[in-house]
Amino acid sequence: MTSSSLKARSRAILIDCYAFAVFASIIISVLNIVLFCLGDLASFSSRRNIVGSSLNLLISLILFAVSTLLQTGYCFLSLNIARTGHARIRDLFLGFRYHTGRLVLLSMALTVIQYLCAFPLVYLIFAFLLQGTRTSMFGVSLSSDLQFAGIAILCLLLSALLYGVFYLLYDQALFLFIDHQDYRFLQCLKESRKMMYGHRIQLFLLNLSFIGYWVLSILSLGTAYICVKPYIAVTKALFYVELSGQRDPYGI
Amino acid sequence: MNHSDNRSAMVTVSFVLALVAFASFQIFFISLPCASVSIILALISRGDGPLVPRAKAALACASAAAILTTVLTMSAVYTYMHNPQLRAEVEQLYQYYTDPDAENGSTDASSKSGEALLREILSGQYRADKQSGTSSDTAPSGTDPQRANEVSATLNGGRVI
Repeated sequence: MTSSSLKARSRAILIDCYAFAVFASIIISVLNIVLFCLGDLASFSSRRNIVGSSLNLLISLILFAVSTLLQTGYCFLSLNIARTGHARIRDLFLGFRYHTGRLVLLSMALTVIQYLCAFPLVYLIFAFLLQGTRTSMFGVSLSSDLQFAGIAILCLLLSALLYGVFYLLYDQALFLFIDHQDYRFLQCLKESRKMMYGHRIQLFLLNLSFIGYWVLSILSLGTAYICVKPYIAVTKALFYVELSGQRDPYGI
Repeated sequence: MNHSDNRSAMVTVSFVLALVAFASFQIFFISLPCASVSIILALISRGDGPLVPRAKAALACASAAAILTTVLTMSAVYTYMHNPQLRAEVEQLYQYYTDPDAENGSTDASSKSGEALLREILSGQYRADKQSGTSSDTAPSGTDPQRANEVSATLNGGRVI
């Protein structure tokens, strides 16, 4: 199970249903943009008092929940494509049909883990933007660009380490929930941790192998991401299928 | 459609997008997305085997288009940032299109019409007249001499002629 073999299988599967996968990707992107605009509208039009702020927070949480349900639906669609070679548009809305509450809790847990892993990086960005704190970071006064660069590299490495050690452990939690909808969200996290022991480096290298595609997406001002997303999603679904030992009957 | 037909269709789309990207390399917001999508389609079309010759051609064409576009766009941005005269002319054009009835615009009957001024700027005649000091409207009509000197200074890189 190498990155290149998984990607080759993913490409072979996608040739027959690529237009459908891109169409699903477009639907998800459009829905996410609508949610983002609604969130902006809510924050713009809310009053600057406790009631307004609370309402704004509630709306943000609802929009976040809807966004995570859509993401789970896309994972389900990718898993169906990886296993059987075809899927339906209604697969995107799986999260709205079964165990919605448990799914939202699981997504919130994954988001908290993600933010904790990215904390050093976020702190670095804030420190850079608010130039005033640059003179003292972590209680150390910085008198030169070299010292700031050193601290920046340290923060980047720390974030990468936390991502590699912690976040990758829980990367399969959503796929596990899709396959075992009777699992509670903590059980999904536990099973994902068990599954990923000894396979984190493989997943890290798999994610790293898509860097060229990310660069193309940025170069195309985001347009090419719609074409790249199905490829990445189906490859990750195939990784889960291999890990869980449930080979797809498509026969690729 | 069977597997090979689907692959062939994907390669064809990739090739067409590569040609579009190459033909429009001077327009970065058309060329870059087309080139990127073409490269992605060409790479995915190989499936679990090698690239077909047409996919290789599409890949080469799209890559060349992307590189050309990037170099051209960066060169244009660099030229704009390091040429104050060009920047001033672009700002004048911008002002003409966004606020044609500005204080130093064409409010006086004796001043040139906006269209004539635009034609002069695009042909380079405006800059030549300014440098030789032979232009009849060294300051836009209806403005005071100090404002005329400011405009002249901007166009001549800080020197008042």
